[in-house]
Amino acid sequence: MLDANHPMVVQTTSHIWDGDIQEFNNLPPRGWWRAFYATVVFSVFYWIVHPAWPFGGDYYTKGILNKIEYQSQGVTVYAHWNTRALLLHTLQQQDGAAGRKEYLEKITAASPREIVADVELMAFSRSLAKRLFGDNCVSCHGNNVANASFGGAWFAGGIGLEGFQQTIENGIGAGSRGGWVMPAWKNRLSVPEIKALAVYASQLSSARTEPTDKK
Amino acid sequence: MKHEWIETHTSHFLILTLLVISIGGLVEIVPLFLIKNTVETVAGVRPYTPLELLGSNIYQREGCYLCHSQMIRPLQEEWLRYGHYSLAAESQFDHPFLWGARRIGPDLARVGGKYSNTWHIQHITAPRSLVSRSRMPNYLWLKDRPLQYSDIEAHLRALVRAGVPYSENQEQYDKNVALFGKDVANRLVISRARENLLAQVAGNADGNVVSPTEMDALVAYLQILGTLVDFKKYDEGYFARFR
Ligand code: HEC
Ligand code: HEC
Repeated sequence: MLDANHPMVVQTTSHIWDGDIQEFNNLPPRGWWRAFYATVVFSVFYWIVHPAWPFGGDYYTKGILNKIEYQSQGVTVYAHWNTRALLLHTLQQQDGAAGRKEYLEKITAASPREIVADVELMAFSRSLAKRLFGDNCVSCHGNNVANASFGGAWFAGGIGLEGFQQTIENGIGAGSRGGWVMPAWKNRLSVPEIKALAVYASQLSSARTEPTDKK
Repeated sequence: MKHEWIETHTSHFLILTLLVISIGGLVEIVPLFLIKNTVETVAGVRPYTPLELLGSNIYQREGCYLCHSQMIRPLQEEWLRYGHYSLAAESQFDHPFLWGARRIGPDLARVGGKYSNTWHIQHITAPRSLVSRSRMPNYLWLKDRPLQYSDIEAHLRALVRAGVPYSENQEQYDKNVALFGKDVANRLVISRARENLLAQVAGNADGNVVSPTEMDALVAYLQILGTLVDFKKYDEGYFARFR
């Protein structure tokens, strides 16, 4: 490339490897520089808008124009941007949150038997319980009779809906943890969640007694 | 500055590289040390008992953290699946902390109390006997290997150096009583570590008390993960105030 028509116009990095290998010291392309300076400008903008600089103690810049609104104990709270407030905001105010709250309250108030009787509540309760069952129960109970894996724990259904609810709340087996057959869920799951699970488990158990029922 | 000055002198190159890399780390980490609120004020978090501590050591030795994180992030999906997001306060006594970043298996930050001890023992020994498509290895040896606890006092003293309040004398003990209550303080006394360890194994009932196994320690550790803070005592907005 270097000939009379293309004189050497750029510097090299000035040191030579293996006797003759040199490296051009070209500037990066202009687009690259622009992007680089854009990130610098962006960082200044980011410092202003987001919580950023600490000044010791508990004081740090909270950023501007970044209020997040959420409810805490019935009061509306405004916080500067942070992921915890954002989570509460999402859980409380996203699409469908109001409806979900309403249904959860209905389930809390209803007895398991009333849930079964109400078609709408039942539909909500089932979809809630299906997820919870997958996250918390399948690893012992399996998701059908055939793969109930732990201690053959499948739902006999002899103790009724309330019995199921109490079993899920308090677990099975007393005394130390080691003696537990099934853990208690009342400290891990909420009241409506446990009720929904009791109904769900009871339906699994009736699915066993009537194996021809495909629904 | 000529490239040559950097590229032909390893030491120059090294020092400048370190300088540039450390800026990112310093800017992200140092502010958290300066803000008191980083570690939330919350009741219930205590140092590990001797048995749990050895369990944590086995967890590290077996590399469980390579597949399991212990850090529930404040995201809706994780809130629904694992429960309350992790607090900084909950790992304040962990040295090293085991937050992890990879999740080949589920997060374990709140696995305590989710299963029975017997389930854990069977699952760790043969995961596929319970979860047919599990990718977790069979840890066959943990059930039979006797727990090495003759050096437990040294482990506790090392942690004291890192700031974990195990007690060596009456003054420290009294402080722990004030901080955690008498029951917990009794379990943090270094000179009583072996006695406490054996008592906890016996309390878990399914171990051979004469010679505790590594499994006993590992399961005791798993069973307290995420259980120390009673979140029902705090209203939903409380922990958001620390950010
Ligand atoms: C650590 C394993 C384990 C986990 C996890 C577990 N269970 Fe159980 N569960 C058992 C065992 C074992 C039994 C006893 C089965 C028996 O008596 O045959 C049982 C019994 C039950 C019963 C009573 C069944 C009957 O017919 O009396 C219900 C209801 C139940 N579990 C629901 C649940 C729900 C809902 C979950 C998830 C939130 C769950 N379980 C999680 C092990 C577990
Ligand atoms: C190769 C990756 C891998 C390693 C290493 C590993 N696990 Fe797992 N673990 C998994 C996977 C995948 C699952 C989900 C399937 C299952 O339950 O077996 C799991 C599930 C679990 C669960 C059940 C979690 C829940 O909420 O259902 C526990 C407890 C657990 N592992 C403990 C351990 C311990 C303790 C170790 C170290 C001795 C370990 N794991 C090492 C991959 C791994």
